[in-house]
Amino acid sequence: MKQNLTLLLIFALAPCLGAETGAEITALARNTDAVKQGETIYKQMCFACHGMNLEGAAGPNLIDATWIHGATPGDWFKVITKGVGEKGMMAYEAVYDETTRKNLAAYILSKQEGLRGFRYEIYPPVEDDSVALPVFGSGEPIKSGEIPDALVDLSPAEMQEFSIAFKGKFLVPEKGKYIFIHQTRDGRFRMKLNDNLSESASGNKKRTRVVFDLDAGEYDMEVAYQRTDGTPHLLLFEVETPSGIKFPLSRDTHQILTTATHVYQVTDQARVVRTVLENIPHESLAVGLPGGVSFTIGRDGSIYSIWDGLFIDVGPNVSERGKQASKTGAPWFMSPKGIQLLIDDKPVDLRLKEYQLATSQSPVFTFAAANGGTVTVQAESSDPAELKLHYSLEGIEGEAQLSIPAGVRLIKEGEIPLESTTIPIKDPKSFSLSVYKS
Amino acid sequence: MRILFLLCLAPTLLCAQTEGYRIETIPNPPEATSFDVTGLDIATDGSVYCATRLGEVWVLKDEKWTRFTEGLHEPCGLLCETDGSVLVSQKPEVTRLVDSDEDGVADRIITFADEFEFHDNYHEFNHGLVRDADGWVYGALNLDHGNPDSFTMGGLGSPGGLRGTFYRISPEGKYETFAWGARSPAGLGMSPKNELFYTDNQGNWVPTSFIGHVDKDSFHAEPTSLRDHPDYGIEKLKTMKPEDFAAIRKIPAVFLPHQEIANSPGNLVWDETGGKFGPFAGQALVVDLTQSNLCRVILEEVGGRYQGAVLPFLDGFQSGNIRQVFDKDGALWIGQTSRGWGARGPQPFGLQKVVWDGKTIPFEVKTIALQRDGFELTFTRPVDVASLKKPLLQANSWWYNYNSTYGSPKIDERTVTVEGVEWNEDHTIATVRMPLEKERLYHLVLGQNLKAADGSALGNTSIYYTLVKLKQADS
Repeated sequence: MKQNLTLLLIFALAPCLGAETGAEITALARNTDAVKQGETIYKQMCFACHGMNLEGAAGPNLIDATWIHGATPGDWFKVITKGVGEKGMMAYEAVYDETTRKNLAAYILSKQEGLRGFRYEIYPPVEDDSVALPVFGSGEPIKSGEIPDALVDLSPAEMQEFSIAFKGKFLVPEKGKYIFIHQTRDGRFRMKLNDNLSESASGNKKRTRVVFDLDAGEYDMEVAYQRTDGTPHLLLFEVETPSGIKFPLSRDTHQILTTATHVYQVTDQARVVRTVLENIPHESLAVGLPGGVSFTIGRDGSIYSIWDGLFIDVGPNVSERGKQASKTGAPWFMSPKGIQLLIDDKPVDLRLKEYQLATSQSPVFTFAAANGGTVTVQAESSDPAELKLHYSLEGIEGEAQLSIPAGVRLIKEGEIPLESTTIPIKDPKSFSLSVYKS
Repeated sequence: MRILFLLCLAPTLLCAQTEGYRIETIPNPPEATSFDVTGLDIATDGSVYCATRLGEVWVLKDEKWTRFTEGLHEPCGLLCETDGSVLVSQKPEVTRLVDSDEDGVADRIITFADEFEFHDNYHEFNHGLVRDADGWVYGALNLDHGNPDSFTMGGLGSPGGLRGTFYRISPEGKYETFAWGARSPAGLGMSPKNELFYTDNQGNWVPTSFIGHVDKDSFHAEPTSLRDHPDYGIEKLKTMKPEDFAAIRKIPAVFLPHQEIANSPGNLVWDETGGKFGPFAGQALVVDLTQSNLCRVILEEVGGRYQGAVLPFLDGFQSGNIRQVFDKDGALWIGQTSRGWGARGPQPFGLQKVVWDGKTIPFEVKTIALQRDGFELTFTRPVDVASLKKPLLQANSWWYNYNSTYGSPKIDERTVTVEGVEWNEDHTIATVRMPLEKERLYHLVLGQNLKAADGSALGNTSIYYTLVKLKQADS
């Protein structure tokens, strides 16, 4: 049942710090004139960083449930007043009087939208599609709790097999058409917004899109989810407002929509980063060279991919819980087998022993062979279309070869390509290989 | 870069607070884009080493931050060695960082141990590190989450490779599996008696978070790791019932009641400062990420095993507490993160330290010791017994289920009748008589009206004592 939005906000955003200020701002949010003045100021000063619709730009989004410097109107007033110097947010106490600053906070309060006060209940898995998904509050859950940042979140389960139900409020600041989009990897999903219902059945991997015509106010929202056996959990759930703003309603969507970037640039010194890399064997190392070429080297000494341009963006792997793989530039080649050292036609069983990162020098990787001996690999790049690999072997006897996977280009343009996928090594103690961009 | 240290003393709001202790905030390295401190130690020269989830190691020396290394895979443990090198437990391995040219930056990154497996799952943390008196280094391997290829016993999983085990590495680099049955072993601690303890986080097979004493080959909670045990394996595990695991598990030394004390505890330290940290010398401290708090832990040996109590100490930290270490001046440094797991503290990450003012003796329960027919409570200051208008304390007790269900409610919760209280001559020790049973958690709530002889009110009033074994006449 729809209720007055501002009354809800008094509960949802009940101030803990600066209680008196917070209560005053909450009262101002019910005052049309105060909100209007706040809107005027916002559209003069704030929109440049926070977006005309408070959706966020250089500065953070101001309408969802994620707050960096406090979630209460009192916290917002404090930030407006004192600023956040290191983030480029100026202190407005010297610009606007106290009433104006409070009206600005009241305007932000009046624009809040999305999920608030969400709770979850985890139940045993639902056996099959003939059994209804759990309804929040209908039984004895295995586990229950609050979702602090108002996103439908499967993470609290921390178990393989379960079903989950959520219940909370959905805040609608303006009348209009709201487009809800949901998608699972094969799982079952149900959302209910007051009497508006949308479901996707087991086996439906496609996006489901529903449009609800909503008045401004507060709605009861219920969500339920059950995955199909064997598929990883993934729940995409988002909404597009009448203003055309799209924002996430689930944690998985939040992670995807949030441009979680953390790019490592390579300038005058090589960099080595260990992270999760898509389609690259576990525990490989990403290496960026000053010449502009990067590669991955496994803990077993194989070279699994080479690329140029962007070294690596670890953002997806260092945001939220870090479930996503880091990104590299477009590879010249990418192989699960890699460029591999063979002795007497067999792969050498190598384990990474050490790498050295001396200033102004290419990193040196040293591997220990299971049967004794060591292999060192050093890479350098002076041409953004070429990677030189230098190998040194010590204490390893036998006929050495390099196994070259398909897609690896070893010969410069115009020269005669090798036909073999293995290269015999004349001097196994020390040899080099150049790989070229296609 | 030299930075100005502004110590934020006032804004911290404490629910559990202890008089005479303050929380100081250390400014983050200005160049660090994120500073989730999940590895923390202090070198012999006083330099503070912080490993972050981004994969960097930062060093604070003479109020100046230096980046020691980068590119590690979400390290969750750090240990300074006496030779100047640093060990870190990153996801795929334990690594030694060496600054051989002494320019303040590690130039040799040496694999110290990699005998376990990592499978790119975000939940495969490698927690640690602590060292025993013989130089062995200990760590613990988290189970994974949401991996369809993993074997599970109803909760977190393992595709093999010794996930869910404790390991130790000799000074020469010899790796061995030390113990079994960890779920999310987010904190280790080495006691002054050279014994390993750890904390585990509530979940399946972990009814509430706890502190466990880990000895060689012991099994603690989550059976999944036993898939790699030579005497078990997946097929055998599938035939075993909860009571079979209960028969082999080592019951925790101290349960940390969910929400009331901890949801996701980090590591343990012992106050070996000789009084520089106040009147609780010799006791342990445990941090919690979700609650952003710090609690005192009092352990005692009863019937050949450890058990004991947890008491609230300080709340109101800025972020989720996960690592802690004492410096030579007796300040307790605390590394913090809340990324991916919510914390009460509003900041996403950081570093704070707890400092005792060097003079205030807070009015608190200093120690608790089990008696055959109750508990002996020792107060830090004499109690104004004459002013007690209500009973000294109220008590109830409960226990927890042990099975594959996620967490456990308090089961068989009962009020415990206090049968009598006797005081020593100076009113610093109260002997509280009550009926006791083994395998019960006793919650003692002291009266809010309790006053010291000088009129001070008692600071923290709750004590949670995990009673696994009763005290016998000769113990």
